[in-house]
Amino acid sequence: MSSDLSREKQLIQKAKMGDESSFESLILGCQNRAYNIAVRYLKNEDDALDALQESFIKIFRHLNSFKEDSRFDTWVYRIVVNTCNDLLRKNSNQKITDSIYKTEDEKVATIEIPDRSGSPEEVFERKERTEHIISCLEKLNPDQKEIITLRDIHGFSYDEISEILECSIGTVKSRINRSRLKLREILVEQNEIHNV
Amino acid sequence: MKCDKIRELLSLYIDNMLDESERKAVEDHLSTCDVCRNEYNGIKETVDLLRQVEMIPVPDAFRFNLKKALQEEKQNMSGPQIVGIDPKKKIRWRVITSAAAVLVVGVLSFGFYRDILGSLPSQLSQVEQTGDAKEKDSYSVMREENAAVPEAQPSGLQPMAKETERAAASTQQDDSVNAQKKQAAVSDEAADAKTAAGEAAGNSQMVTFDAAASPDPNIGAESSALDVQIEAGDDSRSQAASGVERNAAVVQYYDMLIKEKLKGFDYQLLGYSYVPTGEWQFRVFIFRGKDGNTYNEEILVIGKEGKITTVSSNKFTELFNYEDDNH
Repeated sequence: MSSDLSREKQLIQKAKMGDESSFESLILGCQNRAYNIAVRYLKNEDDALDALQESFIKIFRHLNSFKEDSRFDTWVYRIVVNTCNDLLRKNSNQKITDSIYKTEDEKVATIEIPDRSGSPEEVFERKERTEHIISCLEKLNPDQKEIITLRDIHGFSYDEISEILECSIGTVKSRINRSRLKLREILVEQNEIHNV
Repeated sequence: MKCDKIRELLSLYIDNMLDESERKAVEDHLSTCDVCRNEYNGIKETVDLLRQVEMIPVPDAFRFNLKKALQEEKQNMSGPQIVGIDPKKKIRWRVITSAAAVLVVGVLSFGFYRDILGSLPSQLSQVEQTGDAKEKDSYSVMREENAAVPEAQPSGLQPMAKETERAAASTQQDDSVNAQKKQAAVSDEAADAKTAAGEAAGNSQMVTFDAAASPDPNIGAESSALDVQIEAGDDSRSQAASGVERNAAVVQYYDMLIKEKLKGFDYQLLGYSYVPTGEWQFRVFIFRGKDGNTYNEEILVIGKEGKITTVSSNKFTELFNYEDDNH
């Protein structure tokens, strides 16, 4: 672990001096998670790729402001989250036509969900379940959706979330609980609607 | 514990965030209370569903596009939009280095050296600039291949760099001190001989720190809230120029820290540059350490927010460990 850290520090130093390939190596470890964060915020892959690139350029540009006693990856994710929220705010007046989880009538998945192995039925069911839970998630308000996504979809710890969202652990705890309870309510509602 | 209190703790219980006594209290309650147990099961099921949402792989093309974008970004960053210079009234500081200037300053400095030998502090004076302080491309300034490119060098610098490098190359350890002094002599006199050299060079200008841009105070202020303030259009480079004196003072300050840190070392400052987002980078060649061992290796000293850190190979780790109380 400590050799990873020192390797990371070396990469950071080199990247600070403008070495792009060190920067690329550095960012590689965060790339997948960062991308998936963006996908869940922006709901389509193209926007997510744009946001990801924009975030990485910002990070590269402002590397010198990274305080080396903090964690690099949470700093990256924080910037990605902020970039996505900025984009969402900018587009809030536009109708989001690319939402993958449209109304019941026009459910079109524009996100390719990777197939794990399993029978076609299992794969299908998994996709269905995923789509369903995500569409319920969309019904939460942005703060609630945000924190559940970070915790339960991306798997960040309470500490990491507190750093990424720049709020206290106490806030993280209460937000997570309230949001899950709310999501649960929505799920139940939806199930009742389906079962009618 | 009452149900409403338990309800608040369910998520924490699921995430293992409760201490022992709280955990037990919740478990005890759940074993007896159907309502809360249903609630718990419901949340657990929800969380399990969410955890099954799969990660989407990043498309391969992304890395390629990112690479291109980073290279473009580098170009943009290293352009003439240096912190401290208002782009609207860009100061023309490109200097044509002529061979005559090199010769003249070389001769002058050698002469001064002879006069001043032994009485100079090894500390660099305020106009210590070496040929590597190339502002145009602050990122690649540290790369050797750029040292050869004389573009945008104040005329007084290039010859000093050559003096320095010649001194470094030809010098043995016992000469290094002399070389250092020579450099100091050159630098000291460069301040005074600026005009003379400039005139001698004819069509060249002596430019000092305009090109080595001043630290941007706003970057420092920004950095704590950086992630909030970063926007696509953020251009923190076009800040008001602070002038030669402040740059000189900053470099002198860091040089003083370096001198303290490298007390007992035989070293030479090869060059420095300012990276537009808050760091001064000093290239330092270590001939011999304070332990008496020969190193003949270059290290980097980063000056930022009034402190210095060293970036060096493992050989130096031991030698520099004492400095940690500076931070």
